[in-house]
Amino acid sequence: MTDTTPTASIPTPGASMKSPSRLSLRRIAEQPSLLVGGGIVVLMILIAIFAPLLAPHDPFVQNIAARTVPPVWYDGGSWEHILGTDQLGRDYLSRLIYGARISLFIGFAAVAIAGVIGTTLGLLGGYFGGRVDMVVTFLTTVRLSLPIILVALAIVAIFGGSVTIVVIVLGLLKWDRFAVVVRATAAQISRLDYINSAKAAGASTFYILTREVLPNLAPQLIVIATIEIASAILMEAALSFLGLGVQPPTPSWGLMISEAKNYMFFSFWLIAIPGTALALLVFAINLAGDGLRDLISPDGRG
Amino acid sequence: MSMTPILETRNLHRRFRVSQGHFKPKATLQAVNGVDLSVQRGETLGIVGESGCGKSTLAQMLLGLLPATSGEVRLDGRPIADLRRVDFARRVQPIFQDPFSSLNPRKTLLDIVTMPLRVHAIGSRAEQEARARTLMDRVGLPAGFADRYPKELSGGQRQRVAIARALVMQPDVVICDEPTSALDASVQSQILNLLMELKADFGLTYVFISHNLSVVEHIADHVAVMYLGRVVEKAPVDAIFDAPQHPYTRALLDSVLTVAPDAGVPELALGPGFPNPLRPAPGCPFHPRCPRAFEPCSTIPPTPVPAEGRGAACHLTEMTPRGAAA
Repeated sequence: MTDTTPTASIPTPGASMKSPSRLSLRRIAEQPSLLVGGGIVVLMILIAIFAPLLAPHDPFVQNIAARTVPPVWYDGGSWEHILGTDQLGRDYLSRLIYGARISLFIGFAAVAIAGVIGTTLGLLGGYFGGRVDMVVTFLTTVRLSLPIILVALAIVAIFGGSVTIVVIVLGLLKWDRFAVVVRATAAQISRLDYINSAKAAGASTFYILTREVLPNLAPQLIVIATIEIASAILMEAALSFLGLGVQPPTPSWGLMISEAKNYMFFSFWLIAIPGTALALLVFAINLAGDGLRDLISPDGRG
Repeated sequence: MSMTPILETRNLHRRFRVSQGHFKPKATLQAVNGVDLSVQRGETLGIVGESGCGKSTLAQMLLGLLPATSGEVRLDGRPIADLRRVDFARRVQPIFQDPFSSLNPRKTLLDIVTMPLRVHAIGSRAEQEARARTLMDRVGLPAGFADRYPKELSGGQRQRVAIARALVMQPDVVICDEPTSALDASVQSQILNLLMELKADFGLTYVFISHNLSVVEHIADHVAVMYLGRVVEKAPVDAIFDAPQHPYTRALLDSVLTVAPDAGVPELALGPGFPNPLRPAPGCPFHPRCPRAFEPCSTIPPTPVPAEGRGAACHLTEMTPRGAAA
């Protein structure tokens, strides 16, 4: 009973400026890179989600009579096809909008798989050390000795190309950076006294790993995740370009670049438009990751 | 001495295998080498010694964080290896040296202090927070600190948070591993006084590890002096400071700096620096540095300090027993 009495006398700090949520909102506003990068990424995600509402045409319908129509700002362009049509007469803007779905889904899904695998391995190796660490280091070394593109090509060649296969292959191959960074950081953290305090309080290993160690890895994880999402998107484009990723007629930015390469001297926008979209997305993700890291790292700014 | 001590160690050993580089055999480091200690309920046992004497290894073992190579730690006469981790944790809690690494930087102070209660699922969320706020108030943290993060606090305030966390489960024993040595001198005495008040209020038993003799003199009832993993002298605090028997204890006492301006830096008769703990000297491990070493010291190890009562592990006291020495 005596425990509860003094709490009434403690003033609630709501009115003052120390409220955590208000603090973060103000700090988000102070991060131009997060605002710009995050804004572009969120915009692309929204476009991907609402693609059926936004696309002016069906991305799969061919119109042989209106092939390689240039975008509206060139001679011969029309508002009917704002970004023109491709070599089969499909509306290019619609294909670009639907293609955002593929690129974003593959980027996020593959990195989600890779992040879970790499973080788990790294946490176990870094925290336990010894034999466990030897196994984790060995697995990482084996993974690093495999060239991703080569392995991905082989697997896609065996199982056939599809969005699912590309996600699984990239997810199973791109965990190495997560594992290396998480392992090193977890090894440092697990020697600190707040881990000893949690052990002395009787906390389980699972509790310590998930509640005490993992939150301190957030800045590193965010930076790696953004790098890896960007690289997975590029890798999907590369695989699709090589004809081993997403199969036609599914609209994917990498596939659009690939299909456009034969026409690039005559209708260069066919390759420039999806290329620009890809570059913009990767740039925005990296920018947002930088801003996010500055925002949440405890020893960064105020 | 007939009562069962609340915490005791029986012939406690801890060895580490130390790598000396590639393709070289591993060396053995005896960090704790046959330590017998006991603390009665409500007492404070001070453990002193220079860096590397095994104090912190001993603290880890008393907390059950490090298993013994041989020997055992007992709580109320029961080996802690037989106790469930969770039950032991409710009764023995730590305060660590460095308040900058002992608080998780991503948690609010309230989360840090309620952590042990959440691990043990004691009470509802509201009860846990109420208890944590009461303790934070008791250790002298300003109201409204609950939602702050450790980086916003000074060293002394952080150590108060660590104390609140250690006491939130109402343990019986608190192992203080150099709790003041990372703090400013003025803050040290505040924290020491707080620890003594809390001891009286909560009926705590302390094991207080320090390299600072004046701190130990202030707070301890009994003192054990460690050298290279062994207890070389053990006595009530007054006896240690008034009539030290072991030459090492005497050297430690002489090394205390005073504020007297003309006293200068104390001149020690300890000879060369710290010995190599991988190759301890034969006979008495202290003899290469001992100003009063004589012939048997280099060959015959002195009789260890008895498990009960007081004494010094030294050939000098064996030949000329004085005072209450056994």
